[in-house]
Amino acid sequence: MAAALGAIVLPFAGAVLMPLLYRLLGRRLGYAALAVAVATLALVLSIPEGFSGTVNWVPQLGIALTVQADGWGRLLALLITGIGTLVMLYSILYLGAEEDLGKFYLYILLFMGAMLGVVLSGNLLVLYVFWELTSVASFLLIGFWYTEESGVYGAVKALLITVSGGLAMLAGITILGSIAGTYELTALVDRRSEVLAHPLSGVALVLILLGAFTKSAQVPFHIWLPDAMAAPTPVSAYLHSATMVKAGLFLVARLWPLFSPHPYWTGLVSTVGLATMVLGAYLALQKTDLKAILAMSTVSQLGLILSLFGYGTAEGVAAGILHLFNHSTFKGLLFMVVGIIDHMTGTREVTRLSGLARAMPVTAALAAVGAGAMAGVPLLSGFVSKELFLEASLHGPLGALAAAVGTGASILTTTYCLVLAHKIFYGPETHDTPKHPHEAPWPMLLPPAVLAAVVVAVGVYPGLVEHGLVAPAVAAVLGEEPHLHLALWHGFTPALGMSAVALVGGLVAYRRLDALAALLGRIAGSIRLHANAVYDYLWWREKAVERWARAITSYQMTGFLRDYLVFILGAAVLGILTTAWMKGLRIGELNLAPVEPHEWVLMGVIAAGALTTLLARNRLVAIAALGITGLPVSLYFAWMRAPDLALTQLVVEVITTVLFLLVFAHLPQLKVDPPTPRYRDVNVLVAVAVGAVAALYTLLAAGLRRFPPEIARYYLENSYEAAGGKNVVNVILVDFRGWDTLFEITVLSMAGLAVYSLTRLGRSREAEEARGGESW
Amino acid sequence: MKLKESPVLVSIVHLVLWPVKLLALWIFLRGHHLPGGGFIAGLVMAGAVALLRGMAYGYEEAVRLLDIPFPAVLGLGLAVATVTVLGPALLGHPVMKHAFGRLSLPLLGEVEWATAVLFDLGVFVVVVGTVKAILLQIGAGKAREPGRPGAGERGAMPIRLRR
Repeated sequence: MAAALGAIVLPFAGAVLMPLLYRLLGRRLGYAALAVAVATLALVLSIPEGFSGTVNWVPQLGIALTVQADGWGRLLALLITGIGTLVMLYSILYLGAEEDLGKFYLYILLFMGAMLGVVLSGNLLVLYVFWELTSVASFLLIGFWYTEESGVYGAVKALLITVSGGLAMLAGITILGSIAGTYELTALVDRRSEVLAHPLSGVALVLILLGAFTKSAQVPFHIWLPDAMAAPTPVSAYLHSATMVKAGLFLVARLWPLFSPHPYWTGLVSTVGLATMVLGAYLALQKTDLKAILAMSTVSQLGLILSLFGYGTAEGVAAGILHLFNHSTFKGLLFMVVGIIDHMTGTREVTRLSGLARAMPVTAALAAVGAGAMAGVPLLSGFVSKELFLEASLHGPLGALAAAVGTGASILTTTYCLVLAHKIFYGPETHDTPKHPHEAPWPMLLPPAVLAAVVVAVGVYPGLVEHGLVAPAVAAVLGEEPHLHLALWHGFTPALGMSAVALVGGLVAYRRLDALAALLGRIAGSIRLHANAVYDYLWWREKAVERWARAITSYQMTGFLRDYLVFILGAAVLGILTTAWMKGLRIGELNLAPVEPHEWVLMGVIAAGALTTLLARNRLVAIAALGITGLPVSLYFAWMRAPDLALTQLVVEVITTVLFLLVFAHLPQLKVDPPTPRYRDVNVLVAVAVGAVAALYTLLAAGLRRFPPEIARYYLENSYEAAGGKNVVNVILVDFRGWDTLFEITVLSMAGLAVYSLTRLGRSREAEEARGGESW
Repeated sequence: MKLKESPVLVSIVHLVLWPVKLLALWIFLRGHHLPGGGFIAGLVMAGAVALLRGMAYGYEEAVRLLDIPFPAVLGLGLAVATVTVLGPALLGHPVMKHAFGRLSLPLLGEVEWATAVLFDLGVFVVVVGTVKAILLQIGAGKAREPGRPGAGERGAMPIRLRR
């Protein structure tokens, strides 16, 4: 338990320390973050395989900190910490000394902890909390350069889309929890048949998938990922290609044992995945910014993996998991390469970059490895998983259609991979770049080189990751031992043929790149509905959602106290009357308390005071009359033999009246505008209703005498013996119910502090205005 | 507020202030057996003192005279109450356990004591602090801007959400 919990807690602890350490270490802070990442990696490695353990958190709500470090969680945890370590190393050189490194490493370690929480959590509610935390960390990192508009736009967009999906997911999780009566993943899987038979299981599934799709940038929610590229490149490599965008896929696979037999499963998951794969590849070819190309290719590859999880076959799961691992490595590698190109040439525009291989040979080789793996070139890791993908698609429920779509998208993938690996490095040399290109220093090349080594090793010898990593992960998802046979050569299979078609087709398309671009441009021109336009309408340029929200808000938050009183009192009256009606209370049968003559007199005085307050033309008269309504109440208490209450009421009444008078001196002359009929009618209605209901219920409560007399007797008998006081009221206050009093005076203090700080604030602002300063 | 220029009023307030404080103390102490107690005593004390001072010197001046940090007063009151509540736990009793008894003192003779009074003292201090803060702050806040539009006029301003 210690290792698993430590792995989640350590990054958070490190994150909190980063801004402090920044003061000590300055620009060498990256090494501290690197140390945290390495230590976390060590902790993840030391988690025993298949470990699970539980720490109770909120047992009343079924929330427990369950750690479920099965093969699937461990694989992701390893990716998160392993690539995280490399990214920390890479960022040390990438980020200049002028950046606010304390914040950067704070956010990125925060993300690491949150992401580990997602993949190691065995409780859906806890998973959700960490899930949203990753969105927050992503928001902060995308907006790291918050003075740039692109950073703000991208950060807000990513947050709105992923958090909206997250909220849908929370609703889905709640439905799921109420169906199954548990939020524990293993228990949910045990109750699978019960869950699937429930009519609401489809709703829960769709809502949860919404969360997964938004997080993993599936159509039509893919639009946030390209704009997230405003983040520093280490962030893009880490969050937006290798780890965070995998959270949706992770969750889909986590729920695979539960939901894969559901009738909606393949239709939703595979269809969305395949559509995303094609659309992403198509959009990648339209971009000219290297990071935008990679973002779109990430969208496409995420779609590929998702479609595999949707088939509902063991083959699909195995292929998806292997490709997820491969994608994390080669895409992280490619992002680091792009970061190096950006750093060394000063641009990321494909049109301005060409023939860099002579200046940057190592980078060129690294790019070739990454792009080759993505295209599925043999002897690189992507080839193995892409073969599996094509095969699983062919054998899956969508059959040849899925395989054809996959092959088509793969042709486009190969094309842009060639742009990345060939055009930029081996095209005709240009000297169009803002900076004169030269090779990056070796510490910057080291992290992508490590990833490249992994890509080649897995490509040459797939068995390397089969037994330790992939097979346990597949087993954890399937719930049974998989029949994996990862190998380079499977014989002459249809998948091999499709791979060849994809590679050759891509090569041909690359040769005719201009014609292809023209074709794609024509398609793009014919599309009328853009997801981005919808987003901009709702949240950015037109801000429709904000306008609607403001319209609703300003309808209820009018700023007029009278309106608030109408809402509050009206709701109270309606609530009480509805309850009474539903409980079957009938006025005729009520046992109301009798009203004594002297009570009538007191009530008459109170009513007269209230009426005078209403009708007064002068504020002073109104205040005095208001005071009159309070004094008979105090007299009434005295009559009821409650001297303490009477005394308190008296003092409170005096102080309130005085407070009114204090403010009074500075209020404008009381204006009594003739009220409109509607205004007056509502006032009268609310006032009469409140009065009637309050009176009725007071008499009812007094008449019922439901309160057991033992309570009063207990206090009367024990206050002197047990507490040593003859004033029962006071003994109750300070002893029997002392807790209440303690919290009451706490509330009182808060109110006092609020008044104190508000009036001070108002005064300092006035002083500022008086000095002619800007006030806001 | 022109009142602070009246020497008669200032003298009367000087005369009345201490008896009023004693009255509040009396109400506080009798609370254990007779109507009274920390809450009422606090109201009397704060209300009377703040009003008398305010009337005599003007609220601006009264706030200056009473140059004690309100947050600290509130904190002190809460601390006294909390310590009384948690103290017994340190001595191995249930939380909030009160003790009482009788004690013979020279001059005063036999005197009753109770730890509940300490708790009540916390209540008293908090009430005094809060009420004084409210009365004096609002009184002073208003008193210094006679020419400016009052809060009543501004109150009708509809809330605008910042874009």
